[in-house]
Amino acid sequence: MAPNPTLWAALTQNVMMAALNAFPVAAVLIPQTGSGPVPISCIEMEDATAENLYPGVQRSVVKLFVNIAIITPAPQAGDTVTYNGANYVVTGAPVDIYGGAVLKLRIT
Amino acid sequence: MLNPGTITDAVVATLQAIPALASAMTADGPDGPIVRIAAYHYLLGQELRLAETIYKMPAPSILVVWEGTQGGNFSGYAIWKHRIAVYLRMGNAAGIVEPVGYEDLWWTICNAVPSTSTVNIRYTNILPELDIMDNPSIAHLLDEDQIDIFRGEFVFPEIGDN
Repeated sequence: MAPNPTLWAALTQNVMMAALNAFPVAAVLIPQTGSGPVPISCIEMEDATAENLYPGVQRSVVKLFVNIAIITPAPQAGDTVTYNGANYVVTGAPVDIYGGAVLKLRIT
Repeated sequence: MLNPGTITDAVVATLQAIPALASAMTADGPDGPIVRIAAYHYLLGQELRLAETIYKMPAPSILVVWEGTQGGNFSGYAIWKHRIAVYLRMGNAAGIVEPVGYEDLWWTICNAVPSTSTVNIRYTNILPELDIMDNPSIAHLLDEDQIDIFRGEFVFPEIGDN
């Protein structure tokens, strides 16, 4: 049977969203528009480069998977995110084909 | 030959003395505002490896690091040229009325006058044993996350053999 790309995308989307619902981690998006803090649920993803960490030191680069369809306003580069007690700037929010997006964050 | 670590620290001190640059690199630290212009030294066990340090640079910040020394007979008195790299990571420009981008940062580094000198860093003897730098260069880089960063390069001829 030939692969069905639409079915595969739907299945993958379901898995990612189920994971997001089952293991959500809280963060707060602060849009640059000044519209006020927006609580978001996310899952931390693997970095491009692993970081050595020490007690009391936050990660410098963080990637958060989110369900971008339910976040208003949509995150964009230049927004701020508070996560795990540290402030980060959003350097990008590339979307995938499964309904999600990855917020790329760098500590400020 | 001079210790390259001494040169690295002298570059950091000179950059920190440029008021506009220090202002652009100032951020809130745990104990108040800090100027994020720092030196990297190769100290295994005390410092992270260089690639990770560059990756972890917060925005904004500048990292100064010695990346090599070229030996040769460049003139009658210069036999060493020390290469110092300056990695730039700009701050968040969103919502800033007068944002400071990479073009502005490099212009400021090359042309603004440090408070410790009467001329810009290109014409400053940052150490008595060093001649003024060769004309500096800068190039665009992408980090591991495809984020724009820049790497400037200063080359300092050493006067004689110290």
